[in-house]
Amino acid sequence: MTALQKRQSDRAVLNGQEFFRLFQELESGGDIYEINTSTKAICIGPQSDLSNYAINFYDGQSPDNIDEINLSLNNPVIGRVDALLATTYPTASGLPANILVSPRDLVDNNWLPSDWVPPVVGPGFIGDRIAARVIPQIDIFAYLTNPTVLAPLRDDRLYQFPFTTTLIAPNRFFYILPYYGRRYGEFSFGNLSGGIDAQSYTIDVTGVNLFPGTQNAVSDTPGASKAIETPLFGGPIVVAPGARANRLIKSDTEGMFDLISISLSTDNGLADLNTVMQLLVSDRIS
Amino acid sequence: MNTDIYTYFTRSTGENELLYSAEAWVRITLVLETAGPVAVSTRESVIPVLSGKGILLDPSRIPSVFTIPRGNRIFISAESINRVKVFIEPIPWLEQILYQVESGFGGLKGILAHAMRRN
Repeated sequence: MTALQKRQSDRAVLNGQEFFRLFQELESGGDIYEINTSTKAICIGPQSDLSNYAINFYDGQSPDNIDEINLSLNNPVIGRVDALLATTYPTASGLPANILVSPRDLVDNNWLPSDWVPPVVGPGFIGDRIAARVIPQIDIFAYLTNPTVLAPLRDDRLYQFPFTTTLIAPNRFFYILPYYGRRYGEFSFGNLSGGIDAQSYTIDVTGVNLFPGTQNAVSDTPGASKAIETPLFGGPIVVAPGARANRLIKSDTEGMFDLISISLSTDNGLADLNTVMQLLVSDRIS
Repeated sequence: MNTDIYTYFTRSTGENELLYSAEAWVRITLVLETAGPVAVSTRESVIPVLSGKGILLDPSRIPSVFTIPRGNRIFISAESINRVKVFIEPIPWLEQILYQVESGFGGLKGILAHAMRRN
């Protein structure tokens, strides 16, 4: 398979578990994971960052002997899906007819904004930096017996990023979060700077929808993924020393995105900038 | 012979495996704890698992009970790893005799019913 799989379903059978949990960070959008035991139901787990997966399995009635079901938040797969290891898919390699799980949402763990300025390292550092990139997690429950109850909606995820810098030049620091299928986001930006060196900072929040391809739709930046970037909240947010700015995203007004990109710009020059960022994303509309 | 209770793990080879060879009359109870499919049969060739050569164990944990006379064997096959609870209990002589008598009467009843329909 394309991905290094950390958990194997046959261990779950040997251990007498009622379900197998496929739970790990995605290495890339092309990852394919295997479930090599038959299941009675498959659903998305509470800590999944993705909202759509493809489930492929052997089916002699399909043209290529392989069938596909879309697994989404609202549509668990109920009913027996067989892993037939003594049977093979009609491929040159003779791949055993396991159940195959792959992300249907587009994933790019190397995505960069279209206006990305490559950093120049050295004294007087300039350019952009990734302060935090949250790698999406795959979380799938494959039930080995009849499920009494399926996993409920995904958990809310709360990210907290304390940030301190003493860099001299104006810089941008990016925070990139998965937002697949989320309906609600509550963002809070605090500025804890104070005293003689206190300075404000500026936040730009962008919703990102990825598209297949390797060129940016807007700027054709080499190496960047094709994406549509939607500025949110009507423009930059300036957070003054000692202040806090709170913003909400709702799917019915702002839309739905694959990623949220937040850039934090240090305003002129230097000081001991001390900030805290709290970001809550949820499937529920509050 | 004593009662024997254990867990059998099917293998993913899809080959026929001998589950039990009866040296005396026994009652075998099989409970599939996972999703299967797991086929069992007294015939040596069970594969392919879904071919119908054997019978599929119920994946809802409903016990399947088989009475195996002395000298018979039971085979099992699966294409993935599964947990199967196995209970083997000997059948006492008196019960064996009753079973054979019942079987005999059953056959006799069948012959009589068939004859009556023809007449």
